[in-house]
Amino acid sequence: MALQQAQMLLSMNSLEAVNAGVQQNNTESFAVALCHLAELHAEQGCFAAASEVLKHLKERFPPNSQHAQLWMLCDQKIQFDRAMNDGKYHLADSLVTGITALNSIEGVYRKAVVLQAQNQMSEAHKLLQKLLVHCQKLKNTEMVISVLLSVAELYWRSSSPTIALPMLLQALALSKEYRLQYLASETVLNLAFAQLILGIPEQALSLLHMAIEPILADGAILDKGRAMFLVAKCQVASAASYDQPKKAEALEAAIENLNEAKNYFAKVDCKERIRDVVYFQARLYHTLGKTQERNRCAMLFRQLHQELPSHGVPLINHL
Amino acid sequence: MLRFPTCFPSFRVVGEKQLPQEIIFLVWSPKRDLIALANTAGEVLLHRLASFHRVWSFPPNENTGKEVTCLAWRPDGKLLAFALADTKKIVLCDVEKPESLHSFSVEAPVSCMHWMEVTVESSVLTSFYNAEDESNLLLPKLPTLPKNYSNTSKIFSEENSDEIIKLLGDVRLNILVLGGSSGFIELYAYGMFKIARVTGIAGTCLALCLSSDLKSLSVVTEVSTNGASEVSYFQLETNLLYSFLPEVTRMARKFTHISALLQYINLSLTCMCEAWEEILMQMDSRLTKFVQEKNTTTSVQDEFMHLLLWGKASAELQTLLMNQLTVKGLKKLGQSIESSYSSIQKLVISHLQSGSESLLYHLSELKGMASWKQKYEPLGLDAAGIEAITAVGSFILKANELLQVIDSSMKNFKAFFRWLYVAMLRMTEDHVLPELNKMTQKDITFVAEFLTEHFNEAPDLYNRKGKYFNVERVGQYLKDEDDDLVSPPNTEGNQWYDFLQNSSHLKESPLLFPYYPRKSLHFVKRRMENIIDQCLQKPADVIGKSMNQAICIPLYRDTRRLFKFPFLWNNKTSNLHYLLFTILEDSLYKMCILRRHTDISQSVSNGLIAIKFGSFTYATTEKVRRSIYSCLDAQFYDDETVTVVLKDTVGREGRDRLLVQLPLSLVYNSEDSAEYQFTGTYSTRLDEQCSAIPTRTMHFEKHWRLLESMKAQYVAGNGFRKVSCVLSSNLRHVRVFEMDIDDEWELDESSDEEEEASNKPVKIKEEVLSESEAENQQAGAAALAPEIVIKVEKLDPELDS
Repeated sequence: MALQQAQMLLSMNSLEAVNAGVQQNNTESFAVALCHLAELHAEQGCFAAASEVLKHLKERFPPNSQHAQLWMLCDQKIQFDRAMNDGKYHLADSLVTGITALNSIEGVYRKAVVLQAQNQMSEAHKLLQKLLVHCQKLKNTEMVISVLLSVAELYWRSSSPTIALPMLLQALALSKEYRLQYLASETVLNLAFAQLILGIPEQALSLLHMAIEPILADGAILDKGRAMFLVAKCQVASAASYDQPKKAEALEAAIENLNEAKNYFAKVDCKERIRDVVYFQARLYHTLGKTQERNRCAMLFRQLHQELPSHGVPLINHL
Repeated sequence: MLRFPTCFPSFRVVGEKQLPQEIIFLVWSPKRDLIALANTAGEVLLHRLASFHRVWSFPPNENTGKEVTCLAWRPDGKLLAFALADTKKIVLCDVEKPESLHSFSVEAPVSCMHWMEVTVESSVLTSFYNAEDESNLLLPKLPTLPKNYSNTSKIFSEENSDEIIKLLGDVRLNILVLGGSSGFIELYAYGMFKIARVTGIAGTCLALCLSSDLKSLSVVTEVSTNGASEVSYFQLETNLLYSFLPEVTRMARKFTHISALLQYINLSLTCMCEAWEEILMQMDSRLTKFVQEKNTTTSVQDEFMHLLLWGKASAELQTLLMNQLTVKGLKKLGQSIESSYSSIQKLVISHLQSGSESLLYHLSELKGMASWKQKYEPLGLDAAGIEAITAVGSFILKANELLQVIDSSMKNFKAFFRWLYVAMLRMTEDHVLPELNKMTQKDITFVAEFLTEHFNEAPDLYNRKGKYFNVERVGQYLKDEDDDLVSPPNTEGNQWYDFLQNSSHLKESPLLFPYYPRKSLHFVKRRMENIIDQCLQKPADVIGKSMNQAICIPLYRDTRRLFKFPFLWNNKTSNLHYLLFTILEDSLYKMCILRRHTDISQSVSNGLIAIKFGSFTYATTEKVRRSIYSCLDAQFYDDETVTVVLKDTVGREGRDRLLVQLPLSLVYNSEDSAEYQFTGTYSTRLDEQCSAIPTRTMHFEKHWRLLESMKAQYVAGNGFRKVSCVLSSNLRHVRVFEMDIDDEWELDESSDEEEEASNKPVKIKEEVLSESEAENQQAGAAALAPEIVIKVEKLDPELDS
């Protein structure tokens, strides 16, 4: 939907310009639409196209012109996301200053995300709590929901998923109230994960039914991968109680879904997550007694593991 | 000699009517006391039980068709579907008024229909049902279409835009099954969207029944060879539908939304075309004529420029303006252009755009579903196939372009007409109002620009369209032609498109919507429709292919054609398919009941049984009516009862037809069911192995009625409202009965009756038994099959209720 609006705006702008016969395209709306387009492309893993749009923006709106801030922020955000995907937290951390200069709230939020990734839980928590109060005062609902989700993640990372639940429910209520469908799906995803940790994977699976379609339809590639990964985890967890033939079937299905997740992660070069998926697949193949496939996955895992030092968070505590 | 009128008849007559036209189809509403009839004149009639008066009639018309072949009610009784043979259309009609809500075309004429509702419950399904509300929350309500345009379908022109929701009905999946000639069977979810197309069944469908647990589909077909036709029963396994029920429901729901939205967009476009009037072309044609007639060498553009700059026109231009166009004509032209453009503009903004945005939303949801491969891939939904999103995007872009063209045209025409008006007033030397006379430098440039852009003579255009000019630029978007636009919008110097052209990666981005600068709105719309159709078509093929023929039983060979026989019924609680049919034996029609479990792997006892009607006793007189009966028609009344019309072969004319309620609990009596086993084989035709079919003889003392002075032939029963309708063999005489009359009667004189009943333990006399045995020996062939006489003293109260 967002894509459609952006493109409509672009074509509208362009025809107007032709009619007037004057170059009037350096408007804010044009810049916003292009920035948006760049972000959308980056979300879908089309980084080449995104950087091309940004390059064009750079030419059109020189760094010290009026609307240059827009693309600068957009550029930094995309870089930040890529660095996070790659697991280069120091790089991401260095970008935070730039983001904060352009948009303080966004900057603080990203700082917290980096801290969290670096396992500095208490600092991240402090920062997020401050941000939450601030955003609630400003009525920046979208940010409030994102912050709530991050706080919830902090809680279950520190192995107390029960405290995370009220946060998630609050986030869900807010996103439903403001009709933020995508954030709502994201919240449901987190809720399902909390349920998985709490040991009710069947519930989590049926909850996922509600959220997964919007995510697969319009979501960022990374989110799609996370959703599929979570589905696979829930399938494996609920298969534990099945009898043998049914269990094997469920595990096969989970492996299928893991493959999907892997494909999604590969599109945004999220090596860390690919490593997790491969590890998981190897374990499943082992259970099913498929040695050859298991060895293949194990080898892949070994390669990736040597490349990336482990950050010490167990697989289960990570959505 | 038997005495008739003294006894109390079962079933009370509540209505009787002679109809002017022959009835070819009748079916009761599943929820109300309404009966729908189709007659030979092509009318569909709705009658109410009370005195059988008419509620409404749907007359035959050109649009829908004139040859109604069959009818089906939606299980909630709110919609009626009927099939038309001449136009090959299916029309859905609201029970409240005779109006077509939705119609669609099929490939072959439909000979029978069945509309079923899914009854399976599961937690997954409920969560699917709940998720449905999302789109209502997120999308704006579609504005209703204006009424003054001639639309054939009225769903969107109603005051309340909930019509579409009404059309969709309950979230629970219901499927309309259509059957036609040469093995044509199609399944339509919610009666609107095709979800399966079955192939591989030979012959014309006579009856269809999809079990409500979605495990199998029963089909009865006939293949005619030299005059006689061979009737066979098929059972198709529909396990894919059963095991993917939540997904099928969700997908079908989405598909129906999408197809309804496509129809909405189509209708908006029709409205737009109607708003565009031919009068707008006047300008082009006048100018063309002018070019052809004038003998000067100067171009039209120059002539007008001349007028603009010097305020004087050449003689030719002056005659054109003053004599042909005239001041009055100019005013009128200006007004009609403005009104028509603004109404088109309104339609684009409020209808076309909101419609296509909803379409985009639903399609992207569909894409999300398709990407969930584990769930939807087996149903044939293909993520790669959902390129429809970009097609819709292109359509939106095109609509947007039209909007801009309208906008600029309105602006241009206004300025141009104002200037021309003043110029013409001057020519006539009329008084020019001072405020009209004011013209700034900017206005002059504007008009001059307009003249250069629009008044260029284009000889190549003349070859294509027979005119030199294309001043009017909106009409070209609305024409249903494959041609390129006559004057496409100028995208040169346009920064976004320039950037896109010069980019290397962005150009190939799958996220961008392709833009067709040279094509009309209609062209883009058709392209969008084709792509959407294609991607929605695939599941129908995949699901259709998955439906394998599991069982084939040849039934009989016959020359008789009945419009509702053989009859299929699905018992929802015990998951059984029932088939009622008749076999001709010694010039008598013997009724047979075939039953099968809906799950193909499971078998059921007493799979095939024949019914013989022995004697009928009068409750009050103990008189016994004995004769030989032939079965004319039979239909399930409810899960437990079959309503039968019998013909007494020795009875007098007018006293030879009987209406009987046959309780199944007696047919499938558990005590002696082991004795009634079919000893033949299902692979050869059943009427060739009559002797192998076990026969039960039934005797009745209640639950039957003589149909006086009526050549009854057909019956339609409704167990929900406890009514039946009997149709005579000349197809014009109907009589309606209330079937639960004995209950009331018992209430009236209950105490006596109960005692009486208990005092009369056995009503059937020995002679009846012996006689029926004698008949058996006469028949000879039937001697192989076990046979027993059932005594019906007093039916269980639960059967009555």
